[in-house]
Amino acid sequence: MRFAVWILVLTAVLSLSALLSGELLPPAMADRAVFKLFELGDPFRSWWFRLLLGVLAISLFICVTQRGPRLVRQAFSRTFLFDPQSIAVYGGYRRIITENGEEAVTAAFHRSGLKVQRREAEGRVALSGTAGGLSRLGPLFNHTGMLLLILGGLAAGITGYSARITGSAGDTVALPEWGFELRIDDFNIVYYPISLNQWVELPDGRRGKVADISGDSALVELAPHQGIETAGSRLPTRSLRNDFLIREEGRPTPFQGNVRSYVTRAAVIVDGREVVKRDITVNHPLRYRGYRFYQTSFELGGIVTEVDSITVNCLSDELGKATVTLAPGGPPAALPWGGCSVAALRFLPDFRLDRGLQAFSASGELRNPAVCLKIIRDEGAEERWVFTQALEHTGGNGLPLQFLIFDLTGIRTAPAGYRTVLDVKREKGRWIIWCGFILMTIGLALIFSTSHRQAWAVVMKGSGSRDEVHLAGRSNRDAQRFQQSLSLQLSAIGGQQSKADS
Amino acid sequence: MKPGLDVNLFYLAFAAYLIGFLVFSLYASLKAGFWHRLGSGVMIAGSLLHSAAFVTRWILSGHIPLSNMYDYLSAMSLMAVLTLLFVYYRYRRPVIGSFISPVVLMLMVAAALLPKELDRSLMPALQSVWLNIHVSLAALGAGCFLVAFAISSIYLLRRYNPDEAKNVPKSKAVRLTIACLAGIPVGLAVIASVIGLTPPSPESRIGQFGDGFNAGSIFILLGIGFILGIILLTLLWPRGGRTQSGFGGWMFIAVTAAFLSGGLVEEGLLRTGWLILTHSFPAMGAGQPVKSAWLIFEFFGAAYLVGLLLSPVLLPLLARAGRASSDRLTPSLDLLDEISYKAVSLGYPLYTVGALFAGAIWAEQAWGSFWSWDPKEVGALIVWLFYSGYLHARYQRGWKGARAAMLVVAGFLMVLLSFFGNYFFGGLHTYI
Repeated sequence: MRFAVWILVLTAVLSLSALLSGELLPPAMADRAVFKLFELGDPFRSWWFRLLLGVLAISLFICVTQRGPRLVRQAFSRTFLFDPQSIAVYGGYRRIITENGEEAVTAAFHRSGLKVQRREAEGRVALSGTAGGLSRLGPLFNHTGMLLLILGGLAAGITGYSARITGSAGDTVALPEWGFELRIDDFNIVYYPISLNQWVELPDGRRGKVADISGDSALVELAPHQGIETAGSRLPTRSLRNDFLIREEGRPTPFQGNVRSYVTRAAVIVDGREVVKRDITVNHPLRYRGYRFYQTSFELGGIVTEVDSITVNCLSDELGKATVTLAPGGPPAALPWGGCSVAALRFLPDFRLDRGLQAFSASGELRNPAVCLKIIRDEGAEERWVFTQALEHTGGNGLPLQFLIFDLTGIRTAPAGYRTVLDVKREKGRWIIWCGFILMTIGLALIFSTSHRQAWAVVMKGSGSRDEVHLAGRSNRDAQRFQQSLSLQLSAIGGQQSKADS
Repeated sequence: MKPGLDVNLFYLAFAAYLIGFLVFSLYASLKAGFWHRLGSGVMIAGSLLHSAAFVTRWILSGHIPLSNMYDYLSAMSLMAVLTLLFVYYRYRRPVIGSFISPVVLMLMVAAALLPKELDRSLMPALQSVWLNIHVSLAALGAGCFLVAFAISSIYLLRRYNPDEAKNVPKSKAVRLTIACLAGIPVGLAVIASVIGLTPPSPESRIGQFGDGFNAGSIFILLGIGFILGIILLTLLWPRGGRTQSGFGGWMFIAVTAAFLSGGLVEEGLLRTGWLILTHSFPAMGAGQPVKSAWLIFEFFGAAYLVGLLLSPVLLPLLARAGRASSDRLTPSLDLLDEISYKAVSLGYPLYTVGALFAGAIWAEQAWGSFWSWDPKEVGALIVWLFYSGYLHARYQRGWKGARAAMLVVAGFLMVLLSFFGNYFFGGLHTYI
């Protein structure tokens, strides 16, 4: 236990040192042997810090196993003292000569909130009053809880899974270990309405803080840290923007000071079926099969490639070759062989298939363009993905036609909007950590809000009706208050009382 | 409800605490019961105004007002006042008010210096019920630690016997104190400046006119020297001798008081723009925070320098307080020790559950990990480890009295370091 004080202080000092070393050591130190040996680049995950936590855990384990049985005994067992000398060693000892001593002391113990039991031997009656015995278990709960926190953290560290995914609306993301896909249906940044003290952008590009709003106009204070210069006149609030971009490290970044929420609408897809659909926001992760998806960040989504028209070559062993030009989402064009027409349903610049064989674009760039054609014939219609470099088709019913993208015209790029960034986590030790929290909280409540109060009395029948009573009490917390309370109750007994010091 | 009402109520509460402090000070001098009753009445009125300010701010902002440093300091001050009133009525020792009220006032001054803009736009990460639990419990716990700090300071002053101290030859301890606390910082600053070994700090300066005097490197050196000096003083402090006079504890409190006062005055200087630290101190709203731990030494150095300049005024005041605390009105040392322990006992579970557990659970909900070794988290852990060590030492090793009081005082300095740490270290908590 003495060791515990030093290990606590040492952990505190080394934590502070680790914090400072991470900040103060110059980058040039990274190549030094001592830096590598002590893993000073990430000191809280270094071997020596883990060793320290291990020593703390061992100390806690020893404490729990050594003191635990004794604490349990103290909490639930009750002792009876028949010898006045044994009682005299406890605080508040006094000797009372009174009538009906047993009843009087029992009543006094009861009034002090103690549960009383009696035993009788050799003409003496021993009374034992106790309350709040569970208080003894406080340190046991506390130390066990702390031990569980360390072990849970260790388990989470060893079994922990972490990944970061990004995606735009319409993307489907799947990692091999998941066993399911996550489809991102939408991502939005929701802003607060313009209000006092908010940063806004004026129509001319200048920025400032809203100093006052009355009706539909706002007074904007420009550069508030440099004086009291204002925009000169009130501006209509509708002309102000609070969703502007700022430059951070040279790149345009959305100003986040006015953001109310980042919302990713996502769906979990298992074997092509949508099983869960919900919004992921900060503080509200999506949980599925032990995986948790956290709204972590976002990024500007780069570009998305669009085309005006797609020229497709149609090849048939029997009929020859034909070429049609289609607009994505536009009307069908007839093939020269009669009874057959094609339409471009959807264009993807970077074609991929997910685990459910659903097509999606892995990026906005023109890497693997594909178009989904709808081939309409008298017998019926079918959909088929068509590419630039391979004469192959997906699905189909044996139609003796092959298609190939021949040309793309009107290629242009546009900003793709924001891409959501989600952190994916999974650990197996979380329940241990939760148990640790609960145990420690119970332990703290027991330690600091309850106390184990005990009182003992031995009643010796004297000559006549007067009894000689020896009694004392103790408490493991707030002892002075307990002694005062007990003394007050004992004073009510009356009789001839004498304290230890008299 | 009119915007700004919350701040007006805060200032009214501030005024009430100031009057309460003055009235309690009168009580300490005049010893008439009327004054302490008046003082407690004024503090109650102040706490009611302060509570009204809290509720008003809550209504005006639409969320619990615990989302920035001003809110946190204000809540911590309110908790400290409520604990003061509890101690006042529970232990019937009015003079305690004379010692706790100035510390509360110091906290209120620090809060008053911080930006108080009411922001209805609570950022996404803070939109959680755990904000209410995490920050409010942590503030309550810190408020209790503040009271324990004040009581422990009284303990150390009460233990100081100036008459006995006079009989001890002015030798090693005084020379050692001067050498460590003045010689090392100043010597380090001078020598390093002369040989050109100065840390880069291009934008610090003193004075409003022109470019002023660039003192950033000097501040950093003074800060490092100050910390080295304290460590050396602790290690080299002579055993025995002066311990009976309580001089060691008195010196400890004197250094702490000078440093805290220096820090407070420094904040005022930063606020007025007379003093500018590297890239400006973000709490003053004068720029974006720079995440470098070197700045902590710059801040320490400036606080040390101001404290050193204040010490000719502070030391006689503390000596006077030491004499006054020996007065019959001052609670016994045992009682002070018990009250300090009770305050820690109240604050420790609140801080553990609030700052650590609720914070970890919230972090898991928001970031996906219970613990990220973020500087603010490490700061809270250090505070917790420190007070855990204190409780273990007290319970298992019987550490009471001066040693325990010094631990409590040092523990509160850790609380302040954790509180302001994100200014210097950055991390996930930089938004507050």
